[in-house]
Amino acid sequence: MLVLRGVTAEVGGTEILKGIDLEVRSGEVHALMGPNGSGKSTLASLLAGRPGYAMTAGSITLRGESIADLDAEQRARRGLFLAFQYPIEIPGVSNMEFLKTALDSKRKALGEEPISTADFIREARSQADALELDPEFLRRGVSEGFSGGEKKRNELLQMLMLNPQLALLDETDSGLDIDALQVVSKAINAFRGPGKALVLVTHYSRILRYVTPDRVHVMKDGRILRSGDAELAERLEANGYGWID
Amino acid sequence: MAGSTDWLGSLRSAARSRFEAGEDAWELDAEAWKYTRISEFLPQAALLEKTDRAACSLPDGASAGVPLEDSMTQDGARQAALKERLAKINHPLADLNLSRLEQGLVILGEYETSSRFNIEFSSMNVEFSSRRLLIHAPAHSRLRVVESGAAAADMHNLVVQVRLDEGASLRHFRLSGAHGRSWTLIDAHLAKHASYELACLVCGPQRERIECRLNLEGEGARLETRHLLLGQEAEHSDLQLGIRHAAANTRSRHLVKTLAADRSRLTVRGRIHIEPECPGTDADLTIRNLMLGDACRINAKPELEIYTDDVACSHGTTFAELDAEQLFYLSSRGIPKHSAQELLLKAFAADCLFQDEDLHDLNGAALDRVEALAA
Repeated sequence: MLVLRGVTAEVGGTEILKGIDLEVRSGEVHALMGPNGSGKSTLASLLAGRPGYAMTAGSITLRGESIADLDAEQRARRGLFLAFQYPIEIPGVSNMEFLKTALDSKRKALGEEPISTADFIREARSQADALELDPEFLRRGVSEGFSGGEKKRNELLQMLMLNPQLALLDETDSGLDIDALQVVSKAINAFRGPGKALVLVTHYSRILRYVTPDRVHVMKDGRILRSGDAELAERLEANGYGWID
Repeated sequence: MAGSTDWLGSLRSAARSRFEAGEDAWELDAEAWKYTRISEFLPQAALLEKTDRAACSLPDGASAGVPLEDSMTQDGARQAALKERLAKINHPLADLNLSRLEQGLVILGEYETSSRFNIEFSSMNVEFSSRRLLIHAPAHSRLRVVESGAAAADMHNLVVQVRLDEGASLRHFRLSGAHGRSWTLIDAHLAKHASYELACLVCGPQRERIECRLNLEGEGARLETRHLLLGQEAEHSDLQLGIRHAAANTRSRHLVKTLAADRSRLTVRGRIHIEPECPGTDADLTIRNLMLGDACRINAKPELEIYTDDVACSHGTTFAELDAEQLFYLSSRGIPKHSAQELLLKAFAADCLFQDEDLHDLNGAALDRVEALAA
């Protein structure tokens, strides 16, 4: 699904990623862990095509196709989704209008007709219910006035509606209380499956109690220093990041 | 004009003399004309000699509006009031308007409450038109007036005079879409507990100047204005918003949004003046400007002049470009750049659009323009 080979990248002239090798196969869930400043979110932003994040060496392929030269819109159309660490507020653009525009853009790219408004509303309400989001959120401005937890759940609502092949969840678990964490985890588990892949970027292993990863990677200073199975997350929980070098 | 009277003739003559005295005698406020030249709105002398055969219609079938021509021929108190009001405005372009006035509409009292008027001005003269709209909401009446007609003339001169008696309410919606040069003066006077809502969408004239002189003269009067200025190509729009609080416990809220692209030039000058002995005044002016590109220019200037201590009066002005983070967010969901820009621009304009459901068609002209700006 996703393959990175020797990826280095800089932001504002500063080298942040110093040689990333990573392979995420279809159907897998990977956890990308590491202390603050290790480069996790930079990697997620680079993969999503955020302007200003420049790959200086290496290769990135999604389902066998290089995406390094594609912009964010093109990457999204190829099935990549980034749940933002800090979701953006867009007052005046309703969630409903935003989501339908996004969904119709995707369908158009696939040569499909726009979804009917009735079908869209039915689907959106159903997914909002699954995330225990009040359907009234659909009528409000994108993330406008949402609490931190509501913003994160709204990101997952978009993921469920757009149904990408590869979802990057950048600290979606941060700022969630235990009930919200369980709701979010349930949605992630419902999403995972054949033909899809997930990368969870997180500081903490607590979400991994609910979402069992196939692989865990630890980043430090712009490199992946260690990879392992779910047991690695348990060791990190017990011993912190200090022993990784 | 058929039915013209001597009093009108003398009014015209006086107005013409003042206008023809020329720019040196007009005592123009240099600050108010800093970015727009008054000569832009002065027709060639030859055009002034032509007879304008414009018409004013009420397409929704309302019959309560009285053509100005008919009002002029009436006797008694109404004619005296009309004479006083026509002569009242001190402005060279209002003098021009009066000296050449041929058509207009009077919406005077005596009507049922909650009256609605949809007004379309049209013109047979494609070079210069001069119109006047007189609105008088009697005590405790409720009016809604919608001006939606695009002026057909190359040069358009309109004076709107509003008088709201005690407790009267006027909701006034204007869609400005003339293709040539347009000058409009809105002169309003609010009595005790009167309420005036003015919403204006400016989308189209090559040269547009709107001057508002809005006076809260009775205790407890309420005023709310919203203006949306959209500029593209080489268009030039200039809004001069003058608010005068002249009584206690009056409240006003003003929102101006400008959206400039290409080589357009947009100017907003908002001035709130609070006179002495006006305790409890509460006023706010917000000007938000969005620039699309390097070649456009927006000049925005809020001014507060306060002569009473016990008041709340604020202003805020912002200039911005489209938010790069918001654009990236939308793009990351697969939304094409053009659609993303369109969504953001429509969101920016949204709170200036007409909210009444039956006016949504009129919003279409503004939204079409917004879509064009996103292109």
